[in-house]
Amino acid sequence: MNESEYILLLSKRFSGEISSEESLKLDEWLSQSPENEQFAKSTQRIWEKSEGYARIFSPDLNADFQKIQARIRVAEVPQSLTVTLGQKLMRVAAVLVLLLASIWGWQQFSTSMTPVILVSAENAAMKSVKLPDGSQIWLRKGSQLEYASNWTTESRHVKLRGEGYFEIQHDAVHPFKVTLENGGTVEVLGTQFNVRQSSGQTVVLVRSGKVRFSPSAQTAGPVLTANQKAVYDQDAAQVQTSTVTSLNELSWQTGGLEFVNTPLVNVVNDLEQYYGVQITMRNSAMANCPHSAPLTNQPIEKVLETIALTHQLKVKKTGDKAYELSEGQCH
Amino acid sequence: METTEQHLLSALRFGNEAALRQIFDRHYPLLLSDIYRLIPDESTCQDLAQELFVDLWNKREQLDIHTSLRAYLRRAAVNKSLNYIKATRRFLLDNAEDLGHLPDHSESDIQKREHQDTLEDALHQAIDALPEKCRLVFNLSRFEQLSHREIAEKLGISVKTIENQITKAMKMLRDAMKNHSEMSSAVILWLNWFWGA
Repeated sequence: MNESEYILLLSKRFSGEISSEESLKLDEWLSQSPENEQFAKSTQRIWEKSEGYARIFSPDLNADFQKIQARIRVAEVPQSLTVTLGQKLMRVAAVLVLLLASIWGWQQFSTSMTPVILVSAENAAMKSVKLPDGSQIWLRKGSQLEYASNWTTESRHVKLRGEGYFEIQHDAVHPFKVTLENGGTVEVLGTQFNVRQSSGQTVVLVRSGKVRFSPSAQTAGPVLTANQKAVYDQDAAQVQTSTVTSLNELSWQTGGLEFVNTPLVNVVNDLEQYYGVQITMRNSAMANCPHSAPLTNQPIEKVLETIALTHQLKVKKTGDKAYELSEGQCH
Repeated sequence: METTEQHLLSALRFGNEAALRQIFDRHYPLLLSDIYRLIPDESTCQDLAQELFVDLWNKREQLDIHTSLRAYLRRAAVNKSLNYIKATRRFLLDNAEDLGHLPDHSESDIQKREHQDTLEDALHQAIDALPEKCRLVFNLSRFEQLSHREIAEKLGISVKTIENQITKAMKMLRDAMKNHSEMSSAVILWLNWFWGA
């Protein structure tokens, strides 16, 4: 017997790609002798018993994920930092311009000619930038950040167009300054905050730490602390400060919702917006019941389950994307 | 696709790095095992598996996954491994065919060897000891639901070569198991069952 031929036919049968013609041939051979049957059986066991073949890995998840992060960051560093030949030429050109300029008065140029790095989230949903001091900034789609290419930890200064979320490394000696489109500034020591600029309006929301917000170049503004929000209306030239009950304006950056003593009716509102669902509250007595829950990225049903458990509510699914909350007790 | 997974994916599309981390924690160890079946070199496995997540991040806005994330990543892992093999040509040179491959013997390997007492372990070790190309083709056929034709196309070699390699792998595994049975008397009962005696 040609062993190889039948090993192959058997393998083809096990992996499910044997043709009907081959199958007939194999069956005929199998029926010829018990030895052949035996041979097939032992071959089949090898195929079957190899099922569990795998090297089990228990990698250092933190270390390996950091390697991925490093590669993501490199990819997202603004283009002007990766020096290609063309850019090298550009740099030489810039130096030449500076040298020429210096012949007739360097002071005029020394400030305006400092090369800047422009990071733009025009095409990405969000872009994150890490500065040399370790501070990190997330730009919302359509926003831009500008900073000097010779940025140092001694003069921490950036310009923002649009909306950005900032996590600033604490450095009491060197304040971090964000200049806004209209010349206003936000100055911080070390903190997490969000700046949103839209037509005629600037919104600064502080998540932690302390921030001085100067809404325009002329106006001195308030000092904001955690969970405080300042809204500057350019036409009225007025700043209104309030304490926020949720930080869900930041969900574009955090990717999830968070509640701190938020009235249930507002929680439901945020959930509806974020998850694109409809939630009906049957018991109006529960509307103002405060709810606190950490940042969550869970599916809506899990989130509702948690809320229901906390307040002894009943959840009912009433449609594809519709839920109903009833009963409940506020503690 | 389960809802947690859908939610993770939408957070990922949105640029949420925490979502990437959750996906990574769930899938990275399995992907290492998947790749190791094709490329028995730990550090290459790590490089390639990590690259999958960098790719996932870079493509996050265009992701269009219809199956499960696991199936998607596993297929990506196989394709990436095969591209790597093709690029480095390490398995494909015909003269490399008969060089037994040298798996890197990490500590876990050695530990495994110490309490290797079942037939399954012996079989898995025999697979490890197959020549590189043989092991690769066998594993692609056995674990990745790829037909001989698909394997041939992906590796850029003939179907005939694939069939020869499969045959050779099965023969070598049969021989290894026979030798194992001759060497070890302690597992006779097991063997009787195994060989259907």
